[in-house]
Amino acid sequence: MQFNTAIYGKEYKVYLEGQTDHSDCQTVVDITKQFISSGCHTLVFDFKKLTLLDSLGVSLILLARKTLDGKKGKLLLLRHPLGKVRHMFKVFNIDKLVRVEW
Amino acid sequence: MVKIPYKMTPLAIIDQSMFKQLEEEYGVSLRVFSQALSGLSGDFWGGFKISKYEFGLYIVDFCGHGMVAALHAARLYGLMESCVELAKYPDKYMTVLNQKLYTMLQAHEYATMFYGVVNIRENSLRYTTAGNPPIIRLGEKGQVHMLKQGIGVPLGIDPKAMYDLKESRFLEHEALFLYSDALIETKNYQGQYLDDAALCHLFKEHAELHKHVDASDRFHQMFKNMVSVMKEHYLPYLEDDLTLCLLVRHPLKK
Repeated sequence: MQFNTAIYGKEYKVYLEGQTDHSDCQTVVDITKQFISSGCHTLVFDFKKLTLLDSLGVSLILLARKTLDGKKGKLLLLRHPLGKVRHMFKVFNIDKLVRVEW
Repeated sequence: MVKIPYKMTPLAIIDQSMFKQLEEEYGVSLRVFSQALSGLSGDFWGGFKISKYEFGLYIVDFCGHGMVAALHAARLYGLMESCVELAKYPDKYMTVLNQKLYTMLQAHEYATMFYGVVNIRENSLRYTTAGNPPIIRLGEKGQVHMLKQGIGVPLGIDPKAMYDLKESRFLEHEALFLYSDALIETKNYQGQYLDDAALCHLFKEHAELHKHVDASDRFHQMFKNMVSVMKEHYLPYLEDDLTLCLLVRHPLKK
Protein backbone atom coordinates (compact mmCIF):
# COMPACT_ATOMS: atom_id res chain seq x y z
CA MET A 1 0.00 0.00 0.00
CA GLN A 2 1.15 3.53 -0.65
CA PHE A 3 1.08 6.02 2.21
CA ASN A 4 1.35 9.63 1.17
CA THR A 5 1.52 11.95 4.14
CA ALA A 6 0.92 15.68 4.42
CA ILE A 7 0.33 18.14 7.25
CA TYR A 8 -2.55 20.59 7.02
CA GLY A 9 -2.88 22.74 10.10
CA LYS A 10 -3.50 20.39 13.01
CA GLU A 11 -4.22 17.41 10.79
CA TYR A 12 -1.60 14.82 9.93
CA LYS A 13 -3.07 13.32 6.77
CA VAL A 14 -2.26 9.93 5.32
CA TYR A 15 -3.61 9.22 1.84
CA LEU A 16 -3.94 5.49 1.27
CA GLU A 17 -3.66 3.88 -2.13
CA GLY A 18 -3.16 0.41 -3.61
CA GLN A 19 -3.19 -3.01 -1.97
CA THR A 20 -2.10 -3.99 1.51
CA ASP A 21 1.13 -5.80 2.21
CA HIS A 22 2.48 -7.25 5.47
CA SER A 23 5.27 -4.67 5.53
CA ASP A 24 2.52 -2.04 5.91
CA CYS A 25 2.20 -2.86 9.62
CA GLN A 26 5.60 -1.37 10.42
CA THR A 27 4.89 1.60 8.14
CA VAL A 28 1.66 2.37 10.01
CA VAL A 29 3.39 2.16 13.39
CA ASP A 30 6.17 4.46 12.14
CA ILE A 31 3.69 6.97 10.71
CA THR A 32 1.65 6.95 13.91
CA LYS A 33 4.76 7.59 16.00
CA GLN A 34 5.74 10.46 13.70
CA PHE A 35 2.26 11.87 14.19
CA ILE A 36 2.55 11.56 17.97
CA SER A 37 5.77 13.55 18.00
CA SER A 38 4.33 16.15 15.63
CA GLY A 39 2.30 19.11 16.85
CA CYS A 40 -0.80 17.79 15.09
CA HIS A 41 -3.82 16.60 17.06
CA THR A 42 -5.59 14.45 14.46
CA LEU A 43 -4.21 11.57 12.44
CA VAL A 44 -6.40 11.32 9.35
CA PHE A 45 -6.46 8.20 7.20
CA ASP A 46 -7.98 9.22 3.88
CA PHE A 47 -9.53 6.31 1.97
CA LYS A 48 -10.77 8.22 -1.06
CA LYS A 49 -8.41 6.44 -3.47
CA LEU A 50 -8.81 3.00 -1.97
CA THR A 51 -11.21 0.62 -3.73
CA LEU A 52 -10.92 -2.34 -1.35
CA LEU A 53 -9.88 -2.80 2.24
CA ASP A 54 -9.02 -6.38 3.16
CA SER A 55 -8.66 -7.82 6.66
CA LEU A 56 -5.04 -6.71 6.82
CA GLY A 57 -6.20 -3.18 6.04
CA VAL A 58 -8.53 -3.29 9.03
CA SER A 59 -5.65 -4.60 11.14
CA LEU A 60 -3.63 -1.53 10.12
CA ILE A 61 -6.36 0.75 11.46
CA LEU A 62 -6.42 -1.24 14.71
CA LEU A 63 -2.66 -0.99 14.94
CA ALA A 64 -2.77 2.80 14.64
CA ARG A 65 -5.58 2.86 17.22
CA LYS A 66 -3.50 0.80 19.63
CA THR A 67 -0.39 2.92 19.10
CA LEU A 68 -2.41 6.02 19.97
CA ASP A 69 -3.92 4.40 23.04
CA GLY A 70 -3.39 6.60 26.08
CA LYS A 71 -1.91 9.50 24.09
CA LYS A 72 -3.92 12.47 25.34
CA GLY A 73 -5.03 15.03 22.77
CA LYS A 74 -4.27 12.72 19.85
CA LEU A 75 -7.14 11.51 17.71
CA LEU A 76 -7.52 9.02 14.89
CA LEU A 77 -10.00 9.86 12.13
CA LEU A 78 -11.01 7.77 9.11
CA ARG A 79 -12.16 9.90 6.22
CA HIS A 80 -13.84 9.36 2.82
CA PRO A 81 -14.52 5.63 2.79
CA LEU A 82 -16.16 4.92 -0.55
CA GLY A 83 -17.67 1.89 -2.30
CA LYS A 84 -16.56 -1.43 -0.86
CA VAL A 85 -14.43 0.25 1.80
CA ARG A 86 -17.49 2.14 3.05
CA HIS A 87 -19.50 -1.09 2.99
CA MET A 88 -16.84 -2.86 5.01
CA PHE A 89 -16.76 -0.03 7.58
CA LYS A 90 -20.53 -0.33 7.97
CA VAL A 91 -20.51 -4.11 8.33
CA PHE A 92 -17.71 -3.91 10.89
CA ASN A 93 -19.41 -1.06 12.76
CA ILE A 94 -15.98 0.48 12.72
CA ASP A 95 -17.39 3.84 13.80
CA LYS A 96 -17.94 2.27 17.23
CA LEU A 97 -14.16 1.95 17.52
CA VAL A 98 -12.75 4.91 15.63
CA ARG A 99 -14.23 8.25 14.52
CA VAL A 100 -15.34 8.17 10.90
CA GLU A 101 -16.20 11.05 8.58
CA TRP A 102 -18.49 9.43 6.07
CA MET B 1 -5.79 -41.86 12.03
CA VAL B 2 -8.07 -39.25 10.49
CA LYS B 3 -6.99 -38.21 7.04
CA ILE B 4 -7.56 -34.51 6.51
CA PRO B 5 -8.95 -33.79 3.07
CA TYR B 6 -7.04 -31.36 0.94
CA LYS B 7 -7.49 -27.77 2.05
CA MET B 8 -9.92 -28.56 4.83
CA THR B 9 -9.42 -27.68 8.46
CA PRO B 10 -9.75 -30.19 11.31
CA LEU B 11 -12.44 -27.93 12.75
CA ALA B 12 -14.47 -28.38 9.61
CA ILE B 13 -14.36 -32.13 10.05
CA ILE B 14 -15.62 -31.86 13.62
CA ASP B 15 -18.41 -29.56 12.51
CA GLN B 16 -19.43 -31.84 9.68
CA SER B 17 -19.99 -34.69 12.08
CA MET B 18 -22.05 -32.43 14.34
CA PHE B 19 -24.20 -31.39 11.46
CA LYS B 20 -25.23 -34.98 10.78
CA GLN B 21 -26.79 -34.98 14.22
CA LEU B 22 -28.57 -31.69 13.53
CA GLU B 23 -29.88 -32.95 10.21
CA GLU B 24 -31.48 -35.93 11.89
CA GLU B 25 -32.91 -34.15 14.92
CA TYR B 26 -34.06 -30.81 13.52
CA GLY B 27 -35.00 -31.54 9.91
CA VAL B 28 -32.35 -29.40 8.28
CA SER B 29 -29.82 -30.07 5.55
CA LEU B 30 -26.50 -28.39 5.09
CA ARG B 31 -24.22 -27.74 2.15
CA VAL B 32 -20.78 -26.27 2.68
CA PHE B 33 -18.03 -25.20 0.37
CA SER B 34 -14.75 -24.14 1.92
CA GLN B 35 -11.47 -23.21 0.33
CA ALA B 36 -8.43 -22.34 2.39
CA LEU B 37 -6.00 -19.98 0.76
CA SER B 38 -2.92 -21.68 2.14
CA GLY B 39 -3.72 -25.16 3.40
CA LEU B 40 -5.11 -24.19 6.80
CA SER B 41 -8.08 -21.91 7.17
CA GLY B 42 -9.10 -19.30 9.72
CA ASP B 43 -12.73 -19.86 8.75
CA PHE B 44 -14.92 -22.35 10.56
CA TRP B 45 -18.59 -22.98 10.88
CA GLY B 46 -20.87 -25.36 12.66
CA GLY B 47 -23.86 -26.02 14.81
CA PHE B 48 -24.75 -27.77 18.01
CA LYS B 49 -27.74 -28.99 19.92
CA ILE B 50 -29.19 -26.69 22.59
CA SER B 51 -32.57 -28.23 23.35
CA LYS B 52 -35.18 -30.42 21.73
CA TYR B 53 -36.30 -27.52 19.54
CA GLU B 54 -33.23 -25.29 19.38
CA PHE B 55 -29.81 -25.50 17.88
CA GLY B 56 -26.93 -23.03 17.59
CA LEU B 57 -25.48 -22.06 14.23
CA TYR B 58 -22.30 -20.10 13.56
CA ILE B 59 -19.73 -19.00 11.05
CA VAL B 60 -16.41 -17.48 12.04
CA ASP B 61 -13.73 -15.80 9.95
CA PHE B 62 -10.42 -14.97 11.59
CA CYS B 63 -8.47 -12.13 10.04
CA GLY B 64 -5.62 -13.27 7.84
CA HIS B 65 -5.14 -16.85 6.73
CA GLY B 66 -2.81 -19.82 7.11
CA MET B 67 -1.34 -21.29 10.27
CA VAL B 68 -1.80 -18.28 12.58
CA ALA B 69 -5.44 -17.77 11.62
CA ALA B 70 -6.10 -21.51 11.99
CA LEU B 71 -4.53 -21.59 15.46
CA HIS B 72 -6.60 -18.63 16.57
CA ALA B 73 -9.67 -20.32 15.13
CA ALA B 74 -8.94 -23.39 17.23
CA ARG B 75 -8.61 -21.21 20.35
CA LEU B 76 -11.94 -19.54 19.69
CA TYR B 77 -13.50 -22.93 19.12
CA GLY B 78 -12.24 -23.93 22.56
CA LEU B 79 -13.70 -20.77 24.09
CA MET B 80 -17.04 -21.49 22.49
CA GLU B 81 -17.05 -24.89 24.13
CA SER B 82 -16.04 -23.44 27.49
CA CYS B 83 -19.05 -21.13 27.77
CA VAL B 84 -21.60 -23.21 25.94
CA GLU B 85 -24.05 -22.79 28.85
CA LEU B 86 -24.67 -19.26 27.48
CA ALA B 87 -25.27 -20.47 23.94
CA LYS B 88 -29.03 -20.15 24.31
CA TYR B 89 -28.59 -16.37 24.54
CA PRO B 90 -26.71 -15.18 21.44
CA ASP B 91 -25.98 -11.66 22.70
CA LYS B 92 -24.62 -12.85 26.05
CA TYR B 93 -22.67 -15.66 24.39
CA MET B 94 -21.01 -13.25 21.96
CA THR B 95 -20.25 -10.73 24.70
CA VAL B 96 -18.41 -13.33 26.78
CA LEU B 97 -16.58 -14.77 23.77
CA ASN B 98 -15.40 -11.29 22.88
CA GLN B 99 -14.14 -10.59 26.39
CA LYS B 100 -12.25 -13.89 26.56
CA LEU B 101 -10.82 -13.61 23.07
CA TYR B 102 -9.64 -10.06 23.71
CA THR B 103 -7.17 -11.33 26.30
CA MET B 104 -5.66 -13.78 23.80
CA LEU B 105 -5.12 -11.61 20.75
CA GLN B 106 -2.82 -8.81 19.75
CA ALA B 107 -4.27 -5.37 19.00
CA HIS B 108 -4.50 -5.91 15.25
CA GLU B 109 -6.07 -9.38 15.40
CA TYR B 110 -9.80 -10.08 15.36
CA ALA B 111 -12.51 -12.44 14.16
CA THR B 112 -15.85 -11.78 12.57
CA MET B 113 -18.67 -14.05 13.66
CA PHE B 114 -22.34 -14.74 13.17
CA TYR B 115 -24.08 -16.74 15.85
CA GLY B 116 -27.75 -17.63 15.89
CA VAL B 117 -30.19 -19.94 17.63
CA VAL B 118 -32.73 -21.61 15.37
CA ASN B 119 -35.97 -22.58 17.09
CA ILE B 120 -37.92 -25.02 14.94
CA ARG B 121 -41.03 -24.86 17.12
CA GLU B 122 -41.26 -21.06 17.02
CA ASN B 123 -39.91 -20.86 13.45
CA SER B 124 -37.47 -18.23 14.59
CA LEU B 125 -33.84 -17.30 14.38
CA ARG B 126 -32.43 -15.22 17.26
CA TYR B 127 -28.96 -14.04 16.41
CA THR B 128 -26.17 -11.59 16.95
CA THR B 129 -23.44 -10.33 14.66
CA ALA B 130 -19.80 -9.38 15.11
CA GLY B 131 -18.73 -7.74 11.87
CA ASN B 132 -19.75 -10.64 9.64
CA PRO B 133 -21.17 -10.02 6.17
CA PRO B 134 -25.00 -9.99 6.23
CA ILE B 135 -26.64 -13.40 6.34
CA ILE B 136 -29.25 -14.03 3.64
CA ARG B 137 -32.60 -15.72 4.28
CA LEU B 138 -34.17 -17.32 1.24
CA GLY B 139 -37.94 -17.75 1.15
CA GLU B 140 -39.96 -20.59 -0.28
CA LYS B 141 -41.35 -18.43 -3.09
CA GLY B 142 -38.08 -16.83 -4.09
CA GLN B 143 -38.01 -14.03 -1.53
CA VAL B 144 -34.54 -12.82 -0.56
CA HIS B 145 -34.06 -11.13 2.81
CA MET B 146 -30.80 -9.76 4.06
CA LEU B 147 -30.79 -10.14 7.84
CA LYS B 148 -30.35 -6.92 9.78
CA GLN B 149 -26.89 -6.35 11.14
CA GLY B 150 -26.42 -5.79 14.84
CA ILE B 151 -24.28 -3.18 16.54
CA GLY B 152 -21.42 -5.58 17.32
CA VAL B 153 -17.84 -5.03 16.20
CA PRO B 154 -15.54 -7.95 15.33
CA LEU B 155 -14.44 -10.08 18.29
CA GLY B 156 -11.21 -9.44 20.14
CA ILE B 157 -10.87 -5.69 19.53
CA ASP B 158 -12.79 -4.00 22.31
CA PRO B 159 -13.41 -5.78 25.63
CA LYS B 160 -16.37 -3.50 26.37
CA ALA B 161 -18.08 -4.03 23.02
CA MET B 162 -21.83 -4.59 23.10
CA TYR B 163 -23.65 -7.25 21.09
CA ASP B 164 -27.37 -6.88 20.57
CA LEU B 165 -29.98 -9.53 19.95
CA LYS B 166 -31.78 -9.62 16.62
CA GLU B 167 -34.65 -11.83 15.56
CA SER B 168 -35.96 -13.08 12.26
CA ARG B 169 -38.55 -15.60 11.18
CA PHE B 170 -37.13 -18.81 9.79
CA LEU B 171 -39.78 -21.15 8.43
CA GLU B 172 -39.84 -24.64 7.01
CA HIS B 173 -38.95 -24.62 3.29
CA GLU B 174 -36.66 -21.65 3.87
CA ALA B 175 -32.88 -21.45 3.81
CA LEU B 176 -30.07 -19.43 5.30
CA PHE B 177 -27.01 -18.56 3.29
CA LEU B 178 -23.90 -17.79 5.34
CA TYR B 179 -20.57 -16.79 3.85
CA SER B 180 -17.20 -15.30 4.63
CA ASP B 181 -16.24 -11.93 3.20
CA ALA B 182 -13.94 -13.44 0.58
CA LEU B 183 -17.11 -14.05 -1.44
CA ILE B 184 -17.64 -10.34 -1.97
CA GLU B 185 -13.98 -9.30 -1.87
CA THR B 186 -12.63 -11.50 -4.64
CA LYS B 187 -12.40 -10.26 -8.19
CA ASN B 188 -13.30 -12.48 -11.12
CA TYR B 189 -11.23 -12.72 -14.31
CA GLN B 190 -12.84 -9.49 -15.53
CA GLY B 191 -11.83 -7.65 -12.38
CA GLN B 192 -15.42 -7.53 -11.10
CA TYR B 193 -16.57 -8.14 -7.54
CA LEU B 194 -19.76 -9.73 -6.34
CA ASP B 195 -21.48 -7.44 -3.89
CA ASP B 196 -24.52 -7.92 -1.64
CA ALA B 197 -26.89 -6.50 -4.23
CA ALA B 198 -25.49 -8.73 -6.99
CA LEU B 199 -25.73 -11.70 -4.67
CA CYS B 200 -29.41 -11.02 -3.93
CA HIS B 201 -30.05 -10.53 -7.63
CA LEU B 202 -28.48 -13.92 -8.38
CA PHE B 203 -30.73 -15.61 -5.83
CA LYS B 204 -33.86 -13.90 -7.14
CA GLU B 205 -33.00 -14.71 -10.72
CA HIS B 206 -32.40 -18.35 -9.91
CA ALA B 207 -35.68 -18.59 -7.97
CA GLU B 208 -37.59 -17.04 -10.88
CA LEU B 209 -36.05 -19.38 -13.41
CA HIS B 210 -36.83 -22.43 -11.27
CA LYS B 211 -40.05 -21.34 -9.62
CA HIS B 212 -41.81 -24.65 -10.28
CA VAL B 213 -39.10 -26.65 -8.58
CA ASP B 214 -39.49 -27.70 -4.94
CA ALA B 215 -37.89 -25.05 -2.72
CA SER B 216 -35.36 -27.38 -1.08
CA ASP B 217 -34.20 -28.74 -4.42
CA ARG B 218 -34.02 -25.22 -5.75
CA PHE B 219 -31.84 -24.02 -2.87
CA HIS B 220 -29.47 -26.93 -3.24
CA GLN B 221 -29.25 -26.45 -6.99
CA MET B 222 -28.64 -22.76 -6.53
CA PHE B 223 -25.84 -23.48 -4.08
CA LYS B 224 -24.28 -25.97 -6.47
CA ASN B 225 -24.40 -23.37 -9.26
CA MET B 226 -22.84 -20.75 -7.04
CA VAL B 227 -19.98 -23.07 -6.09
CA SER B 228 -19.42 -23.84 -9.79
CA VAL B 229 -19.29 -20.14 -10.63
CA MET B 230 -16.87 -19.49 -7.77
CA LYS B 231 -14.61 -22.35 -8.81
CA GLU B 232 -14.57 -21.29 -12.41
CA HIS B 233 -14.35 -17.53 -12.20
CA TYR B 234 -13.19 -16.47 -8.74
CA LEU B 235 -11.02 -19.12 -7.05
CA PRO B 236 -7.94 -18.45 -9.19
CA TYR B 237 -7.98 -14.91 -7.80
CA LEU B 238 -8.79 -15.79 -4.18
CA GLU B 239 -6.80 -13.81 -1.59
CA ASP B 240 -8.52 -14.99 1.57
CA ASP B 241 -10.15 -18.14 2.95
CA LEU B 242 -13.60 -18.66 1.50
CA THR B 243 -16.55 -20.39 3.13
CA LEU B 244 -20.09 -20.73 1.84
CA CYS B 245 -22.80 -22.48 3.88
CA LEU B 246 -26.39 -23.21 3.06
CA LEU B 247 -28.80 -24.43 5.73
CA VAL B 248 -32.20 -25.57 4.49
CA ARG B 249 -35.19 -26.25 6.74
CA HIS B 250 -37.40 -29.19 5.83
CA PRO B 251 -40.77 -30.12 7.35
CA LEU B 252 -40.26 -32.25 10.41
CA LYS B 253 -41.21 -35.87 10.03
CA LYS B 254 -44.23 -36.66 12.19
